Amino acid sequence: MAPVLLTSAQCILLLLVFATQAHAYIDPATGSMVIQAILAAIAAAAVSIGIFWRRIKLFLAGLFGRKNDEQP
Amino acid sequence: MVADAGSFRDPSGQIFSENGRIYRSIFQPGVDDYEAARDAGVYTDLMEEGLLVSHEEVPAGPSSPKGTVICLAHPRLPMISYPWEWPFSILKDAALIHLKAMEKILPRGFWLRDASAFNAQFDGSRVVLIDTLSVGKRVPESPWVAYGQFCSHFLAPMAMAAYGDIRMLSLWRSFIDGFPLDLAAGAIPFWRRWRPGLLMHLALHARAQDLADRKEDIAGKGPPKIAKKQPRVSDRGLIGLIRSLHRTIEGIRWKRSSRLWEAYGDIRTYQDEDVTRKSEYVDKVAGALNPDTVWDLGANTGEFSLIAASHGAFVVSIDGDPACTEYLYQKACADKSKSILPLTMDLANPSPGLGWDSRERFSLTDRGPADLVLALALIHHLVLSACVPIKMVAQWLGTLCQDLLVEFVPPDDPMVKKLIRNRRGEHLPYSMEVFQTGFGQFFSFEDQETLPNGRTLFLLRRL
Repeated sequence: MAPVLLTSAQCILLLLVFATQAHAYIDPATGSMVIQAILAAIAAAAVSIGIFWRRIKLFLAGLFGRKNDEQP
Repeated sequence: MVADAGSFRDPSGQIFSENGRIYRSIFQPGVDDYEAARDAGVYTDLMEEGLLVSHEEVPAGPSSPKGTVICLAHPRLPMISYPWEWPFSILKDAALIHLKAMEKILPRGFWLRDASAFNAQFDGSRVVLIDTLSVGKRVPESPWVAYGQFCSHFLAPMAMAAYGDIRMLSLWRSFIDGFPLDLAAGAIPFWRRWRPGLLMHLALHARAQDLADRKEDIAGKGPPKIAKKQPRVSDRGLIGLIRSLHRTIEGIRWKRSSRLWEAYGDIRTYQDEDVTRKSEYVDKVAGALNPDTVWDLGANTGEFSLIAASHGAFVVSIDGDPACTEYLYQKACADKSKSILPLTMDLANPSPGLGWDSRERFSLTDRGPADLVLALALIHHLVLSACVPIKMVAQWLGTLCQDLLVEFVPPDDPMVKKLIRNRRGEHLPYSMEVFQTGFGQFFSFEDQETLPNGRTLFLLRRL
């Protein structure tokens, strides 16, 4: 999550260090690939945090003996 | 065999028509992706969801384009239409089906290789993807190659239309490969740019493209460097990105100025009896001619399009007012028994041929003729407001249809008087005599009905 601490322009410049290879007949555009890599990383991190948070809740629910539908 | 003039960009295939049927050749570069998607059942799933136009494999004939490995037959679409003609919600539906398809096929290791507005078409009942070869195997860890295209074809024009001005959709005629993101980011109000979806996918995206272009310009002075590494996007990240786009697109709503069409009922110069008689006559003509295709030119809110559609015709309703076409699209979507495609177009400046060699995207005339054209309360606008002589209007209509139901509004009608009130008599000749002479050169007069308000409906047949 380090890039989040940088400004958006710094993030973009950081990733622009990597040039791009196209896998398509349309031009994927370097800038588009870089920004989506940043956004996708944030999205993936958000999903991971979500999963982690659910596990904590399940753990706490189990610890205090509450029934939870998601438990097997 | 006639090759489709708009199907040449993707080397993996080509559309062609033969004896009125539509076929798709798959060339060697596209075979691998096609077979993988077919064998994984991806096409079947997308078709069952109503997201993709149907196809069946047929043997390649001797007249198939050179290099054809696999040949598909597709149903013929009733009308090809383009984003510069679409109501806001067709563009939005076209965006949403791309994202729904992505969400469906990404977990199975496939994606869409492009995300072009031209890959979406109205099939008579809904908007579907028409490019079977868009589906391909996902390149592992790669960013979505069509992300930039998606944003410039859908997000940018939708944001400009919804938060700037709906008429900006006509800029499509200039930006046929999608709206520049910096143009869209600059055209929407400052506070809108801070909505998370627009901030990420439009404002920052535009900034990233700008920085990348500048960097490439500087780097371009030396020899081109070979890429060592490219940005990586995980499966989870890509699904998150698509969901984020989905939320953003869902959230862009055009709040139409409802005053526009709700007032039509009040401002028109019809009494109830006139409306009833006119509707009955349109109903009678549509029933007698039983046309497959009807173009309703100057359709307003589509009152008469609905009558024509109730006889089973596929109706294209054209009006210059985006509020009218949006209203009709939503009404037609709610009533699945009728097949109506509303398109926004200034009929004094109908869609030209555009794209490569001005033939890649068809003009309105290229997409005709229709079996029946309705030109109700239209001619006086073209002659008196747009200043097109009646004879030229008649000649143009003659290129668009076989049968024509046209309304002549007499010079003493309050609507006509309103149109010429500031003209001091300086306008093109406009009378019943001029009308009949002009139209008589291109049509035969088959039938007529005069309404109590003095307006006359003529049923004409092309000579």
